Amino acid sequence: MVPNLGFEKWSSLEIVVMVVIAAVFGVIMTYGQFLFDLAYAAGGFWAANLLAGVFHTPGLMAAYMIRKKYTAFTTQMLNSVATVLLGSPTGLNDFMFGFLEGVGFEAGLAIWRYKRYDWLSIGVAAALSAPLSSIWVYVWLSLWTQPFWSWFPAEGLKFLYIQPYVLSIAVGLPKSLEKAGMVLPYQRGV
Amino acid sequence: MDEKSPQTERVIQTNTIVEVKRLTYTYPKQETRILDDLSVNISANELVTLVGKTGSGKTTLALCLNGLIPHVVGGKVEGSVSIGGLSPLTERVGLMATVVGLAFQDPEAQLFNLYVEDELAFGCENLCVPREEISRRVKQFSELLGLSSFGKGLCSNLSTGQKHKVAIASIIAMKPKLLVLDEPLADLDPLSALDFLACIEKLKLKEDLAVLVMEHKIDDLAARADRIIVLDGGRIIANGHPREVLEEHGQYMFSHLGIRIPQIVELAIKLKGRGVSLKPLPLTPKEAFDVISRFHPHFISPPLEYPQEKGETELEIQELSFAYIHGGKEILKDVDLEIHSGEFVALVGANAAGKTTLAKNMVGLLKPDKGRVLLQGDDICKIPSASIVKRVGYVFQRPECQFVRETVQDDVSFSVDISKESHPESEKLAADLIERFGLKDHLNAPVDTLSRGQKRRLGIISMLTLGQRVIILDEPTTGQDWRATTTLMKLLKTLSKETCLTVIMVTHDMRVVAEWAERVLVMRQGEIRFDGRTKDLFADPSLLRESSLAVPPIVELSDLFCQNGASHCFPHLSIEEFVNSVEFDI
Amino acid sequence: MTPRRLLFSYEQKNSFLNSIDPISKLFWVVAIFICSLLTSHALPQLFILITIFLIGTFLAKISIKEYGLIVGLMGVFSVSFFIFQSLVIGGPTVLFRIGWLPFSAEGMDIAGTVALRGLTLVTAGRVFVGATNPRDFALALVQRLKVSYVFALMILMVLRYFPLFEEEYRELRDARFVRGIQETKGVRRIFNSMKDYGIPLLSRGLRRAETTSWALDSRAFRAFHQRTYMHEIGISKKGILFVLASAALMIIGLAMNYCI
Repeated sequence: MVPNLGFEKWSSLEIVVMVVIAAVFGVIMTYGQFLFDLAYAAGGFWAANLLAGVFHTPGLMAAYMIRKKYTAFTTQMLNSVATVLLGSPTGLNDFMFGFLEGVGFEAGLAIWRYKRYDWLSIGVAAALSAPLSSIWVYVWLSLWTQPFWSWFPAEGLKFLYIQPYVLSIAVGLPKSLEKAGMVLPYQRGV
Repeated sequence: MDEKSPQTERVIQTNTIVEVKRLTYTYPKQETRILDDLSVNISANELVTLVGKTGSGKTTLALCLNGLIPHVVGGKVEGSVSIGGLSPLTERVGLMATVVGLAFQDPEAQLFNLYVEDELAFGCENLCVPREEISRRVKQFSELLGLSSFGKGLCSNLSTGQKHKVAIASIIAMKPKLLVLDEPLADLDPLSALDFLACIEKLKLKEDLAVLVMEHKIDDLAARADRIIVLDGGRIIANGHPREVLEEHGQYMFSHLGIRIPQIVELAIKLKGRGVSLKPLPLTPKEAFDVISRFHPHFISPPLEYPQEKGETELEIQELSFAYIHGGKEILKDVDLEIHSGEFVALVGANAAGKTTLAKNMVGLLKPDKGRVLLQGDDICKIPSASIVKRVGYVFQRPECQFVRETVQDDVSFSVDISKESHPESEKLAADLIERFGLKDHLNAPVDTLSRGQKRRLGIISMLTLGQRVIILDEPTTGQDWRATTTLMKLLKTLSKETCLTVIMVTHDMRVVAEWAERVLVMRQGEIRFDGRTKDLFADPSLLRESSLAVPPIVELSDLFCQNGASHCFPHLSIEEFVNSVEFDI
Repeated sequence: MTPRRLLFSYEQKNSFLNSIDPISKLFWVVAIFICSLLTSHALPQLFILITIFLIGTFLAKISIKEYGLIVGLMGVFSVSFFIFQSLVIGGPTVLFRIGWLPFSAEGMDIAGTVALRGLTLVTAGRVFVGATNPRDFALALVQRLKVSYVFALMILMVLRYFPLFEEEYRELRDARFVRGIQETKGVRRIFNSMKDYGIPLLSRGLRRAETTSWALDSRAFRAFHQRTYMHEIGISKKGILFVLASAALMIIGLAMNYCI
């Protein structure tokens, strides 16, 4: 029922790294969702989307560290399934967001045929995930019933909002771990 | 070697599970050989202890035995290894798992499932064991290791010792021929360690296992092991019965390799220096009593101890009660105590007695539900946190969690910067502490590269730089070799005497308590059951038993002499004390 | 309010919903999901919500207090969404005004639909999660829906590590306290929390990852193409009946929607 995403090609270390990233971000996002909802209550999409970067980070961080096909999608799905099971405030929506964001990540990385992992490729992958996640926002909030101006600017610019957060964490953190002497999974040549 | 018939020879060969021949290994991108021409055999039903200081190659050998080296870790390997007929150097790790069970030191890294029963079944499921057989094994091994009541529970609710047992039970359920345990006792309290070793002995016999335990703490293992192998610089320097190995190499193991040898063996080494040779070498207090008695020992009265003047009250606790959940079970009940300047206090008790909870109340990490904690006369709940941290320090059991900067120098400088205003001498103090604690040559080293003992010392320096007069250490000896432990204790003791620093250590290690602490607080079920001199505590065996505290072997030995009517006998708290107070009619 | 109580919402209870298989519950929740999305009026959406609430209360024994935390938060979002969107979406039938701000029946119907949809999805999710053992769910994915075991184990490992990271988070917070680090206040704290806590947690976890992967391999993980399971998750008759009954209720809801 679920396509083989190459689980057999990943080493145990890569699997564990994806789990760790999904788990840590799961904790952050479960708490972060509170803040997101409060931000929406305070200032609508404009305020809430300032915090959206955190939701777009785990898959890309895993992709940067492992550099194999479908790691971004799998980590993002893992994260969303886990947050649903942990009782996330947005419930089942997390699953759809995770799925669409993951697809966006893979599309972005596929542009460079999974051979380039740097600020640019990760930034583009993040940028592509934003409109895809907006599709789900559009559907579940029935945004077609509402004036364009009330949601499009905030959702439309989400791809920009999320960049600083995504790039500083998904790329910045592994780089600083590398500087501190950690050997990243992709460097082990497994 | 004795003449053996071909049949016996074949039997011996059939029983040999592990055959390592001239194994040499170098890690990837490194020049130095970590294992150098190593040869060793281990048979079924043997419990072999492999000892060596940190970096001697113990873990590397473990990884070679199950194929992680070379298949996952890589590196250059020469020689041959055979475990139950399979070679880990050529067979894949998954297949080697059918004959080798390897348990790592960190239990958190070895549990993958939510529930205990699933964890126990995990290995068997991976090996395609039929379902009914899995259930049978899960039941069998959870009973054997005392885990039956945890079966349906969450792994995350277990204590460290219980998690370790679950990991091992899961491995044993796979029915390996060789069980390799990498420092299984490092994070266990003494009673849990004894319980654990008893389980391993039972398993070894029941399952015909060859067991290889890697440790640098063998005071409990020595009496149980069939053999000890000593590793130094990647080479085997000794391999034989514990008694023989400790007799010949005990001094070297203790003084050069920092291995915690049995206290009784240390005593034998010291007595040998006095011309009293204990043969056969005793490993336990009872054996030591029997052997020493042949020399007709008698004891000199101890010097009179004059009560020391108490310093200022640094910490006062008044009727403290605390529960983690409001209205729930009280973890601390009406605790009253006063701790004075310059005291060296040990806070002991069984697991879940409330020691760490009390320690955290002392430093303001937890706030009392009832009662008060006074720091130098001020209520801890009423003074700002910035003031608390300058008066009392806390070093965690895992000191790495409190490092805030990348290098040693930067981390200490962080504390200096915070305390400069109120404590202008902090920079000078930091430099002095770095020198005394032996970290001067590591100033630019990343904190992650330090050994456990060094990390702990750095943790202490970072605290004391803030000018604190009280320092609380949570399990300061866990996971450290004996040399690092004694170095740390000596440093703290010296500081305490010179600067009236008050040291409070939360610990399970009763040998450290006996040798270093002047005052002991024994906790049981949230209450203080004993508050007094260390000597008085060890003079009361029933209290020790009730509080589930292990008795250091030297104290047990003294007790045996006292029970058998030796004159002027008193509980000796250290080897030095015993040796200095005993005379022989040879 | 302690968000910590969110974590790990499953509770072993003696309830009807706890006793049926995870696949039936999954079908139920997916059906609710689809139904809720197809509904375009507030009244049928409310009907679906009430149905779920009743199922959760009586068939899953979820207390009001247990609903309160999760649903309460979505309620904040839903109420604010409802007010804002009611104003934004106009309509000819103005029911009342607050000052010069008109609230039309059409606007409130659409805004109400969406607001209630949010509550529906969260409530359904809460009921599902509260009554479904995650282990059984992961196994059901593998045994019934042919999802890769590797992915199922990864889900379980993520759940297994949550309490560990929670504990490490508390330890980090305590460690920062004893080092004299003053926590930033207000909104800045939110942005600093990733640097102060997220990064150390990630670093620790990643450093432990190597030993964890070795331990996995040492336990014969993926040693063979097949594996056996101690637990077998089937599909129960009770579960099928539950799905059919729920489907009937959903059809009623949809019918209400299309009749309006």
